[in-house]
Amino acid sequence: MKSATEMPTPAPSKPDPLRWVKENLFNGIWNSLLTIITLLVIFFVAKNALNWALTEARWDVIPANFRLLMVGPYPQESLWRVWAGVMLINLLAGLHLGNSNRERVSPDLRNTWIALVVITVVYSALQFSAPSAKFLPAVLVVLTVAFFVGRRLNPISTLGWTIAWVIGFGVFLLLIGGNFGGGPITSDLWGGLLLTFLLAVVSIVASFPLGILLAIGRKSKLPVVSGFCVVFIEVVRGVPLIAVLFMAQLFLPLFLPDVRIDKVLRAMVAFTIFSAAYLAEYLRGGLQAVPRGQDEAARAMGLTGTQTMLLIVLPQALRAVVPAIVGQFISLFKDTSLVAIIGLTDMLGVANSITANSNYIGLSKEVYIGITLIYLCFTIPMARASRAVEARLNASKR
Amino acid sequence: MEKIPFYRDTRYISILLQVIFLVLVVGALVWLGLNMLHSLEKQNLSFSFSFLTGSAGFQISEGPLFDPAESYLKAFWVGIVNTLRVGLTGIVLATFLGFMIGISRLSSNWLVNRLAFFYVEFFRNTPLLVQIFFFYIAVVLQLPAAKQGYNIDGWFYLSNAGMTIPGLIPNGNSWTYVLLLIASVVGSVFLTRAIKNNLIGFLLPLVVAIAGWTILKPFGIDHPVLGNFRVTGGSTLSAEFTALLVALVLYTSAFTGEIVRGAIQAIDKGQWEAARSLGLNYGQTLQLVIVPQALRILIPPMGNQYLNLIKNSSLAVAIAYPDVFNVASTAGNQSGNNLQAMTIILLVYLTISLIISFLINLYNRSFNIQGAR
Repeated sequence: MKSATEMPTPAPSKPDPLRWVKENLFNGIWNSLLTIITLLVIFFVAKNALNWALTEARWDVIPANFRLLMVGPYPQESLWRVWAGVMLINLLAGLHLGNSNRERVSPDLRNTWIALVVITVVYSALQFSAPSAKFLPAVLVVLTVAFFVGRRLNPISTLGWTIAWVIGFGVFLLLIGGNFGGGPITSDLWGGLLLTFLLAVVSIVASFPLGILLAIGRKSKLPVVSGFCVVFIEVVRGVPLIAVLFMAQLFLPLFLPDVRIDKVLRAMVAFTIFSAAYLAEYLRGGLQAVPRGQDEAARAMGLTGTQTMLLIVLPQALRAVVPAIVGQFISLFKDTSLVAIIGLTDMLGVANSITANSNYIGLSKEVYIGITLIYLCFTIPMARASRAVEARLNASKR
Repeated sequence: MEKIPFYRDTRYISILLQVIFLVLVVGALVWLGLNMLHSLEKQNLSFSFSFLTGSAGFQISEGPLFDPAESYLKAFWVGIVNTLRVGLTGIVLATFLGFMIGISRLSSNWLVNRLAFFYVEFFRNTPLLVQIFFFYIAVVLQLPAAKQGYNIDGWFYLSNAGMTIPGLIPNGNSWTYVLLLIASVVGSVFLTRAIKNNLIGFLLPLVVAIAGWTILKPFGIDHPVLGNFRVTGGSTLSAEFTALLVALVLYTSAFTGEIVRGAIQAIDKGQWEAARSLGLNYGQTLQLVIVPQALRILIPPMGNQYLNLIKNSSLAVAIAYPDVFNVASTAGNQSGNNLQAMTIILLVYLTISLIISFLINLYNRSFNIQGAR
């Protein structure tokens, strides 16, 4: 995880480790002292941590509860639905990645693929008796085959991919919900990482149009419209997310008396509203970054106000805020853990129930560190992707 | 020139659009409100705040002393004080730690640099709530009991009941001392400007603080004492407070660290070079050229982080630290006045947000270039 801009790189011609150490660790008295103190601190912390992790910790609590952490109380006999859904998503992802990497494969993508292979092999070796040990390699095969098929296909437009993803995700939701044969599987049975993902994806996608509307509304010349948007955005941003979540839980049923909305949907509404307010603020920055001349040129070409906004200004504004949007997605992904407070069994909810289980008393460290690592598996790549996009945008600006 | 018909005149169109928008929004709000009143009626509830004067009837374990017989209003007050207690302590500590992290990220020492990088990546990319649960359930609650805990006799005790440090007992000289401190800080600001020497401006309050302490003896110190089962005396920070504070500080400092780094890196290289060629040494360059410019970039995002920290402290509800959110939801549940309790929560957080952004703006203005936007 090194980035060339932040690290003084040694001269590439003579890779001399001694010189590197001297230049980067012992240049001057202060730095030498700092290095020694840091080394000592790292040594003692690492010694204790490793000692605990390798000898005292009982990591078997994680594999013993792995299914719970992944899907929560989802019925075991219907697990094939989740796997089928994951295959479908991977099929689409493979096709899409392959189709958009037709000329060459970026090293990042190759590394990710290698990491996936390693994870799959290790996991299958450790859990060879579990059904998932057969499904996981199959998923990887689907992803890989789809990638190469996607490279052979003619380029498909963004609109085409958007439609494909919307349909694919709809089918995924229907599958999880127990359609296509079999009884309905209500959302109170969705849990674990599955629920975490559903909450994050649905909310970010739903908050997108709402956020765009709010951002445009805030910039509107009509005082009533912009006033309403300002109040909405500022109020939502001024209160804690947990307050928005609680309000959705308590008041949606009050406001809409004759409709029964389940808890997961209420949480999704809360996340959508919250995320839309933040997206609107990022987008406002993006809109401000589009040079005025773009607007004027578009108007001079005879485009109407709506056309100018949709075809000229908005695409540029969106491009400028891609890193911020990825950041919003990361924080939403992390924030879905808040549903554990309102009693949903997302990954944190499952972890809390494991630590309260009398079979696993005193194993709370292992459980929380375990789910932290699972969260990191998803957030770190997203953060890296965001940084790569940011670097690319900056490079194209200069 | 031909007259434009009114339905194509932008002035009329904009008024018409606004009227339509207003009708839609008001219509929706009225519809929601009527639904709400209807369902409240069905549940025999009313939207009034008269319950606030009634007796709360529940305990609040920490913060200003609270008797269950006292009113809900007082309970909310205790909750607000507790929110501010953890929030303000957190802001101070997170700023300090954030600066250390940010500067470490810029260090030419590879080891320090990498360590700070991993710190930032780790804490920024894990959910805060998981960290809070970790520090509460897996760290603080797993600590040994008071007798076997980590203790420095008379000064510091850390156990599963929380953390105890010496408390201060104010006496007749306390106010004089506090006023003297404030005066010395204000004085040092003017002195720094007048003689253009930051060192004196920094030393003056320090000297006043130490000399005043030894001469006036403004506070008595209440040393904690280890009893058979628990620590008595001193001021105790509960297990919940300790865990929440640690999680908030570690999480927020990862973000502030990145802000500090970004602000310092945003300063043009030419500024460094120009300052060095004028003959300023490293410390002077940092102090006189870089930091003042970096502060200008730094303050608005720092303000956002402070707001986030205060808002995030509402996650206290998960581990039952009695902050305003926790107290309000208890009060709302218990008296059946959820709607009112939520309204109060919204008002409290909006007020805190407004106050903090006002202060930040005020502070920001003093750093802005004269005449700049």
